[in-house]
Amino acid sequence: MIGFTSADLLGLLPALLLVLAGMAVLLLEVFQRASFPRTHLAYVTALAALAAAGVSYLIAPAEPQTLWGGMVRFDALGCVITAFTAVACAITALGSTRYLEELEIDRGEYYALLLFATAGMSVMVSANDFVVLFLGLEMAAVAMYALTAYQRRSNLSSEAGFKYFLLGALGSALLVYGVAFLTGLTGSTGYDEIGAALRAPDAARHFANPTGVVPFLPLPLVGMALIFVAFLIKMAAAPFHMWAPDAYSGAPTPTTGFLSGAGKIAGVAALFRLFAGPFATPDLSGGLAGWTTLAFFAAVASIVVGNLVALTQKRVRRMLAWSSVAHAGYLLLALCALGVKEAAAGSIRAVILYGAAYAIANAGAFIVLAAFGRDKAEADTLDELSGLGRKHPAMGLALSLFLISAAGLPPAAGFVAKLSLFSTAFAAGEGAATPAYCAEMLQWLAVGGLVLSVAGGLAYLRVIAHLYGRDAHVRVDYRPHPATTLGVAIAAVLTLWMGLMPGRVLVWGGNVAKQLLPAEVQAAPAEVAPAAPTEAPKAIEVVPLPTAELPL
Amino acid sequence: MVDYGALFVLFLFGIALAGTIVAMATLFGKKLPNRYKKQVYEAGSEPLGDARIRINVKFYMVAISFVMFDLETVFLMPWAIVAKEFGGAGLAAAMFFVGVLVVGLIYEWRKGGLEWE
Amino acid sequence: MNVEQVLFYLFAVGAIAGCSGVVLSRNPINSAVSLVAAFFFLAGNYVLLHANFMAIVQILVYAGAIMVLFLFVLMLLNQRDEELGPRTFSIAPLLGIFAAAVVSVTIGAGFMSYRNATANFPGEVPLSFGTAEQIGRSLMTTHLLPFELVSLLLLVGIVSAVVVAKRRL
Repeated sequence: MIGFTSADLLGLLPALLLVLAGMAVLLLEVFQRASFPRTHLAYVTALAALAAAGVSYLIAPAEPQTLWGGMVRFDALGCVITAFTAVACAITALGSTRYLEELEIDRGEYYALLLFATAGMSVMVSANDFVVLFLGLEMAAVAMYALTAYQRRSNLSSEAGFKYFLLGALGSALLVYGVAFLTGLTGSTGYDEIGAALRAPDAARHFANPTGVVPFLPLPLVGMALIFVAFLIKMAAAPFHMWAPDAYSGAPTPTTGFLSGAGKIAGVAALFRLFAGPFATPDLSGGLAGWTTLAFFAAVASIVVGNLVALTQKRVRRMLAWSSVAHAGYLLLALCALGVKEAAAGSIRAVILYGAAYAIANAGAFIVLAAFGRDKAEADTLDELSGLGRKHPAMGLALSLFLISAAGLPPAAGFVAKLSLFSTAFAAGEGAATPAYCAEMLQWLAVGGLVLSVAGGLAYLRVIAHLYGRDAHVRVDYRPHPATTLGVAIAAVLTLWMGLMPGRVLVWGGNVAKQLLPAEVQAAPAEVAPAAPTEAPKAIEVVPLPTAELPL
Repeated sequence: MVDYGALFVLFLFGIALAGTIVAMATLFGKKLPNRYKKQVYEAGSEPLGDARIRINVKFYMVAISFVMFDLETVFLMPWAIVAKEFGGAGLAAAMFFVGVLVVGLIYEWRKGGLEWE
Repeated sequence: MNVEQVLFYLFAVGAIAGCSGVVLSRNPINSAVSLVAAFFFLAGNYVLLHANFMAIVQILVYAGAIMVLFLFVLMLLNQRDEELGPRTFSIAPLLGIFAAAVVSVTIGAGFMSYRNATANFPGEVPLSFGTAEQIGRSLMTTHLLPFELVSLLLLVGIVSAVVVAKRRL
């Protein structure tokens, strides 16, 4: 019999809401007169996205459930990530109005595609089956290709869309190829079935080298590696980041914040579900899969390349694009720590906080940048931004806050996020169950990452220094719009809230960890609580981890 | 493999039939060539110039719309075969599928994506 | 070797030859036509896997509709031989071949380990496995959600196509 219940629908309610809103926006676009201000559609979009975020907050289950006959996992991870991507979508939609009007590309499809992309991400992080994962990923990706190439009169935008599409298609092909290996070995596309087959007593036959001579890669590892690389491409992590600077600087400015922020955290969340689920060994040591090593090298490469190249950039958007590569590296650092039993729960908390902080602040930073413009273009070089912070104190302050958050300084959200991330990485290094080489390397990586994040921080601080520089650029001005103000306000409030009172988000992260990890890992003694930031000024209220587990 | 035996025979028969007809015509047909008959057959248009002309970009929109709705058919056909088994609920599921694409069709239509502009 | 094996190798070699033609040919039109050949051989292998419906769809949609789209784009660009430029030597293809060889050997060794395996592989499927009827049943039961998601993906595709390719919006 046909199989779905109301519970199945409830689990995907946020995605359904986003999709229905997207279709409504499409129909509004084509049935309204040309004189109808498309700005209204931005408000509709933001309202729908915020509603979806609220709904996913309200419906978050106390216990993980499996819906649609095993196709979807309805748990805290999906709900938290959906909520934050939806908020990023709302901020982006609100910040796009004036920008699109200036370029005379203010049409409804833009907002519909934003909503579809968010729905795709929501499906992707809730997926418990590779077919659903692929469809969600493609839905988000196709919408994002079109958003990147949206500014059709600009060659840069078309080129950006084309590059993004080619590399994205390669990533999708690698994903499917990897899944083909796993499905061929286990006969299923479901996460649970694949995980069970790889942990079954007879699974050893997949990993034994038959010849002993030829260099041998067990086929499950081939599949896993291909899937992992596909995600690295999608997240723009080094060494698969080459498309990112061009795509991010060619895309319409407000969307770039959404692509690089929300897109990354959805990708890393899907990776966490995979590596805590089907690809995890029973004790999550990471030994069987060997993916900790892969994640480690990708993290090192991303952090080094992203931060150092960001320092050399003259154009703000390219600088942010390169440093988004570094942020992908930090998210992967958390993924390395997931492979260590003692740090697994901490790494999930850290990645939720980091992802949330990054997605929101990044969306905010790009919409402020989009609002600073001259003629028909946006301000892009450092010189063009100079003095704007004095001329427009509120917006200058907001942009500074977002950049400070990205740099990982108090009082913004990025500070707490980086703190919990590096403390987790350190704890992972001390984990007894860790393979010895991993322990050493993770601690070195944490130290190196800290040093390099200072370098990355300098790149951000340089922008702030220019914002408050002496001579104002004559032709660049702030283009006000009530929607933009609203979007910036939402982003700023959330960034400050997460920075000053991260307790609530950490509780959510704890819930995610509880629902994602198997019971024996949670019993691990060394729970990594982000240490109270002793070096922080007194004014910052540090909320200790609440012990009571609130339902999300 | 037995199951495809009949299909294989059909293939062979088709090839043999076509081959025989052409061969018979070549062997026994009367040949009276002239200038017009020897021309390349080009559906009435003048067979001059390069075959590789630059195609108008308008075709692209038509082709891509065709692919999209072609795929819709591909997914609906398996449902249509077993539609009776799944009754009203199956119909509802298929109607959601079609409904989403109808929104796409309305959008494309109103946008003029189906016009020859 | 039974008939099935003979046919498998025939189709497999054909598909590989077709794909090589796609990569090696300098004329994009030839590449596209090689791809059609590869699609046909792949369809043959689908039939051997009892995936009849997939085989037909492969030919109708890929070799038919999607290849027409490819050819439209190629004819739109309409590169002539002289525009392709002279053959130049570059190190990149050699590196690519080297990388492909390494990957092939490691993956091939992985496959070798299953040569004598008799353990429970998801091997035999009933003959009715890939009929349109079975696929319809699967789409209505276990794969109901993917079925609906496909329609959304197609909708996003339509909107994206209009946004990117339509001349006037």
